[in-house]
Amino acid sequence: MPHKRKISLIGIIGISLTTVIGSGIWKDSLVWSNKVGIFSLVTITIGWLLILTAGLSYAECVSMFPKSGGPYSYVGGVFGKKAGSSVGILYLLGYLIGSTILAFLAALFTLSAINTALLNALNLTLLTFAYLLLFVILAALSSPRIFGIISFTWVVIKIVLVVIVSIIALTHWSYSPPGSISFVNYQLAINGGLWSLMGFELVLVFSGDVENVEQKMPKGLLITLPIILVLYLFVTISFAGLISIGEIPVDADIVSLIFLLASKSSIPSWIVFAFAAFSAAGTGYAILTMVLKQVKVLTEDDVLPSIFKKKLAGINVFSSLFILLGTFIVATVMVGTVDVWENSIVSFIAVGLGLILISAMFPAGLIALYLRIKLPALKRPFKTPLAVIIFPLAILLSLYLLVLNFWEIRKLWPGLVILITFLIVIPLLVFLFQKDDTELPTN
Amino acid sequence: MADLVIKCICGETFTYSINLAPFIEEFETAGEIPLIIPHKDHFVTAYIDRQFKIKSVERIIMVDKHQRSTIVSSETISENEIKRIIDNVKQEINLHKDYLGFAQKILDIIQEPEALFIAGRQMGYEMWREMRKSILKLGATYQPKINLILKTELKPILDKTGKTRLEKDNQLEVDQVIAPQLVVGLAQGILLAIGETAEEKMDIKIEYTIEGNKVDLILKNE
Repeated sequence: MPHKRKISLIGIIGISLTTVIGSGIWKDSLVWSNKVGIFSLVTITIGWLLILTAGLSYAECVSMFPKSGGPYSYVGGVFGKKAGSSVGILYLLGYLIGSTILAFLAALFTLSAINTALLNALNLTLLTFAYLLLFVILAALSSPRIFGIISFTWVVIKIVLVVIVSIIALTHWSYSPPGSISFVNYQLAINGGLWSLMGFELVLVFSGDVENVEQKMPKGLLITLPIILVLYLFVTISFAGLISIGEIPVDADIVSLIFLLASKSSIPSWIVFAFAAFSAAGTGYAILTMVLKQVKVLTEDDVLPSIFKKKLAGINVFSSLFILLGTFIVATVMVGTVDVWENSIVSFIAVGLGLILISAMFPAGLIALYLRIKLPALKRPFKTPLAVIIFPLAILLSLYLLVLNFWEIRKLWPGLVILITFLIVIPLLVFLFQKDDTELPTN
Repeated sequence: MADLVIKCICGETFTYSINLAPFIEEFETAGEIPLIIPHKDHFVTAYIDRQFKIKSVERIIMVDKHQRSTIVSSETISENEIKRIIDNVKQEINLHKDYLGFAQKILDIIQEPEALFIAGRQMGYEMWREMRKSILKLGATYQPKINLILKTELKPILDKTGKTRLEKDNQLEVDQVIAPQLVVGLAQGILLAIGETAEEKMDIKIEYTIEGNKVDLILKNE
């Protein structure tokens, strides 16, 4: 690929930031403050430190293997093509669901900004479709470099909007003594922080489109993670003064949380909803662009059918249509059934997160640790310090999050059934139909 | 024909007759050339200058594609011929799955120790490339650290040739091998393949001793 089409360091930072800073930042800090008050500064820092272990694991992996594909490539390179293909498809499905959820949230916030009376299954489904169509068109038209620039610009605007709202929130800041806080509340706040910080690894799928990736990608990741922490700390300080512990009702949904933020900070609610919609849409676009790239990588390696290689007028029409169809199916089942299946959205969120945890977070520490032991002679332009602690922590963290993901099993059991089905069917299909060949990414 | 008087590492002095005329061009460009010469159950690398004088004799294999010997002192079999033989054997036996079967077949065809060394070199190169194929495709590169390379790159392949034992950080003993010269060649082939993936120059040399069916390999930085 010519140099001019490669993703720059700014692009890496933009993509990593925009995948983490999405819809959650508008309400997560309120939820944490509701649990532990100002101590949410501590809980988010602990959550960030834990997520950093996965970040460091990936930074070391990408410094060793500068090719596209992310977790798919690393797992395939180390454990063989079939294992890599299974992980690659699960990862693709995870983010296919993830992008649909982001499109749904963008639709939810958009309708809320216009008029909450418009919030019904039909409107939500149609607007989710519209967002997905827009994301796919944008993704298909973006070269990697343009994608990096758009992501960076989009996330800068997101950050500016979040900072503006946070500064306004600071002007309404009032201190309420935390009193005694239970250990469970701390744990819940840390858990919330962990979820908020996931997704930064998505940029690794584009490694092959980055010049001097062994140096730039670890650098980009290590610049991004502190920015995320600083931003979250600032938002948390600002929002912590808006509410007191236990003020938010247990059954409060995301819309009511944003209403609460708007009313507490005296900002018209439609503005906050519009900001949140813009934020979620940026993340949705970034995720769908990655999904399109992942389809390309898997197709080039003959993991997916070769029809997806075909282009019309230079555009990957078939893979775009495939993604669109996939997201439409998820959106129809997830959003379209919301009136009859109360927990459809949270169940699908649990499926998406479960797939990402298994296909991305878990392999990060595992592969980095395995390679340290088995292939110490590999050149590592970035070498993680304290690897014997960091890598096992990353593995344990992903397992912990997986358990946590389905903790409310009575509500989320359908999600668990869907996840287990994917975990059985996908590897089975791969092992049945894929040739036994260890060859991996060529791009 | 030139009669080379060689003082071998094993202590004996012997005379080796060879026609050096085909190598005149190499003498002109390189000044001196390394020549693999068999002696009893082992072989040595003799460095010969333009006057056909022995400059030095080493039981050392240079791991550098510009310095490695491409010259086999025996005139009965050329390097190209050895490659052709290996390619033919590959049609029958999978080198990566059945090393011993492959080596046995090679031994049926090639007997000269120096030719076996050259054959081993090509086999080692191919075996390592196959073993690390998936990570090489991902763009992995290696750092030239002797202790790490010996333990995680040489040993797994030489385990197929016999009973291996790490003596020191830079020393590996391979016992119960069926063709010691083949094993020394394997070691050089592996190091050459690793050297191709390293961004820095790999200045490693192999010292070896062969006693019966036992090979002792020592890796040293030049």
